[in-house]
Amino acid sequence: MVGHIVTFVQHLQAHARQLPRLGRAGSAFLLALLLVMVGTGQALAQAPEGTANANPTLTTMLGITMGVLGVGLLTAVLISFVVWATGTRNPLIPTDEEMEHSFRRYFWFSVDHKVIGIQYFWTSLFFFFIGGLMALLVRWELAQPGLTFTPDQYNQFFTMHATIMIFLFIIPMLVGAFGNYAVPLMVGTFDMAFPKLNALSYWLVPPGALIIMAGFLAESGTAKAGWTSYPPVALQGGAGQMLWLLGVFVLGWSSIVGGMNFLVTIMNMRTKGVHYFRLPLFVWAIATTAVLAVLGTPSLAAAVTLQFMNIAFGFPFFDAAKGGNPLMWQHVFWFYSHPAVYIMILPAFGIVSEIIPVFSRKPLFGYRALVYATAGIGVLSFLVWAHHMFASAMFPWLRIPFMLTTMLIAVPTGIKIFNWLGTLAFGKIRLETPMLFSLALVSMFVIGGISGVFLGSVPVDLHLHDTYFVVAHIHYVLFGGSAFAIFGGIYYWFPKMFGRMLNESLGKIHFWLSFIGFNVAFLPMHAVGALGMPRRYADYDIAFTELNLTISIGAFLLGFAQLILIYNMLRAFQVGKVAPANPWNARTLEWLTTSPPPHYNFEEPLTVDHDPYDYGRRISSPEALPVPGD
Amino acid sequence: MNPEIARKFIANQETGTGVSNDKLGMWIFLASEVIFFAVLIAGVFVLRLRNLEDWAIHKEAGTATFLATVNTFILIMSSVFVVSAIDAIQRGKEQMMKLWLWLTLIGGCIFLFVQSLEWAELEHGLHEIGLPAGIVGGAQESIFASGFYTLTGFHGTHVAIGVLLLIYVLIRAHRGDFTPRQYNALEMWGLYWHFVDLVWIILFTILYLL
Repeated sequence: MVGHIVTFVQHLQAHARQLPRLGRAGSAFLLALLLVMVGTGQALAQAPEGTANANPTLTTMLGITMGVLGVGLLTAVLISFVVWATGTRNPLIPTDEEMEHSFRRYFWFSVDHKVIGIQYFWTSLFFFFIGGLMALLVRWELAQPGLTFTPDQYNQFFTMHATIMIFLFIIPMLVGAFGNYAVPLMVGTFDMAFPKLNALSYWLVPPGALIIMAGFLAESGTAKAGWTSYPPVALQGGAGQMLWLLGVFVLGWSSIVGGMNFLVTIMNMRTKGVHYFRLPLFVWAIATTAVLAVLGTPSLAAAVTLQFMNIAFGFPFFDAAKGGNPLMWQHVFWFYSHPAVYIMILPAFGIVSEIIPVFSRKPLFGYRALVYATAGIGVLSFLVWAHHMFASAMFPWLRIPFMLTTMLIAVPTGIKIFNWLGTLAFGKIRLETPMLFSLALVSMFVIGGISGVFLGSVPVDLHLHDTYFVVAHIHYVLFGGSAFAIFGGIYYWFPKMFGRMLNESLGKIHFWLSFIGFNVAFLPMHAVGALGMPRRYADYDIAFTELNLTISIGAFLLGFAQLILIYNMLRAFQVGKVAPANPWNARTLEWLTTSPPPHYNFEEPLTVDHDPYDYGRRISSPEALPVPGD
Repeated sequence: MNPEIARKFIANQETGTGVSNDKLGMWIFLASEVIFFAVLIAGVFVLRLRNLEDWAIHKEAGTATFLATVNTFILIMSSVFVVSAIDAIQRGKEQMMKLWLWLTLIGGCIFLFVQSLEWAELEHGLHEIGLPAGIVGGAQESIFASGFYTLTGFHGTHVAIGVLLLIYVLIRAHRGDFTPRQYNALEMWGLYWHFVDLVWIILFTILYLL
């Protein structure tokens, strides 16, 4: 294992290229970080007694910790400034020469979209394992009736599991890692429109994550009202809940800045010949996602702001006794968070739309229909939020229009499924690992999508609301959908990102163990939910024991399978085959350059005269073709 | 970033939107800001409908409509000054541009000063919120006061950021960075300032007039 790591590091060193640095912007960022941390400390230290169960000694302690960290950062900024002003070399910032052939560029401010993509990649993969650990703790508790952990700890585990998986794994991995790495390559440009803002949107992720997870140090623990943070329960959360709100606010900024960057890049920076209907579907998916991020995330920011005001200063926005309205939180929260589930699934659909034509050697069936379906899902996603609230005190007549819009959104989703099936039909299918994971998405998302239609119909939802059926649905959509697409994307783009091929046999073992573990874990949840087991309880009726034990065994198998992925990646750096420019004989632009691409992506600007999925068609200009097999 | 290589790629781009990256990005960012304020305002407004009595009582006691009207006038004028500044630099009158920008800066500072007076002096004054010992009545009991401090607080933060950015723009103006062909930073900042002004007009209407 140590050998693997050493080779991994040597590999990164070997592939390191010239690093554009961010001297002043880096210092400014440190200053911003300092403000965030001092602000957190201040807010916690000033939490009024009596509101929530904030522990004053604890909040003071946290405030001091944050303050110390802030002072350290301030010192760093001051040293940087003095050094800059006196014209000597800054000991804190390595020189270009030091950086050029060093893996340290991955740990420092870089404005290269490929470096940022890789930073996102490893960061979100790290959080995938933290979030997975939380999930396994939940399943450990639920394997047998009775309590192993306290209910309080259990509440923290499931809250942090969802928060980490959504905000720190799925969104940063799909949009941050793959979006950043692939979009500029796919539209044939040299970088994102705003490279410094791109760096900023990555560097907001670690502080956001730290703030959310700082709750583990707190005496009263992390947030424990679920990732949806409904008042009035959330208002009792104290320090952990305030940290959660602040962290989500910071991560929201990262999302907004990133979305703006993607939109400008895609609208303004396509190379000659790449008109809108020659964009690969993944780029379309990222563009739609960016619209959702830009227009949806501020709603979440406003919601967490109002809740923060409520907890920290006692402004009674959600306090029914003082004229507030707890239900308002649900409206504002879901106005973001329903589009957010499409932020989590549209790029996954995009990845699958890339992989399926390549491995069936056929043009994508109904390209335009897929584009319109993607955009249609984007628009409809803003009109369905209240279907999460059928069981709430909302006006009952509002349920019907929201049920109808929810049913309607199954139409563009169905178009996608049938177009993928149409692409697969009569194709020369190669069942390599990326394709296996894509097929897994297509099949598992059908299950998750249909259980979504069940939950979208009012009478069924009133019965199944807040049961394990909902948990089953969300995991078929987010693990069976998003996470499988992420694994497919890793196997598909890893050669491009790191210049090494992943091992096929290990990939297949990873796939089958994940697929089996996934279904053993989540299929019984439908049954246990329909039988009436509520979610978010630490203990359950003895009648559910067998099914819960099965679910836990599946979950641990699923967790174990992911270690194979890590082993496969570390192994690839040591003994993996060197990747050719175009290992899959794909036709999108990222395969036209070396693996990994040079600093400006392409030696010369491209002029494109073919569609991205022209497999098996007469090609107008042979020189525009990717070189098969290199 | 090697500007030569970047230029080579940019020269070979498919026709985009025709709007520069900076301006397009700014518009998208402002769209995002619009949603942020829209949700805050809508939230407070919905709560107002449930608390009409509280709203009326606290509004009467908690706002100074005359001061705010003067403030609104100052902020709108500062927006006009920005337009004049851009117009001046377009016609090559650099001195006039600096003058208009200084006037804008003064306008922004006066606005912030008056706003902070209102926060500090009025019934639900600044001393009553945020400090653990001093939280009594005031904002903790009233939807109007809570909404007032939240909305004007976030707007005030935006004005303050605008003033800081204006100082940066002014430094660049005095360094002679802006020419009739190149005044990008000024224009981007102007868009932001107009947005902040527009938000204030809505806030003024729903917090003071209606």
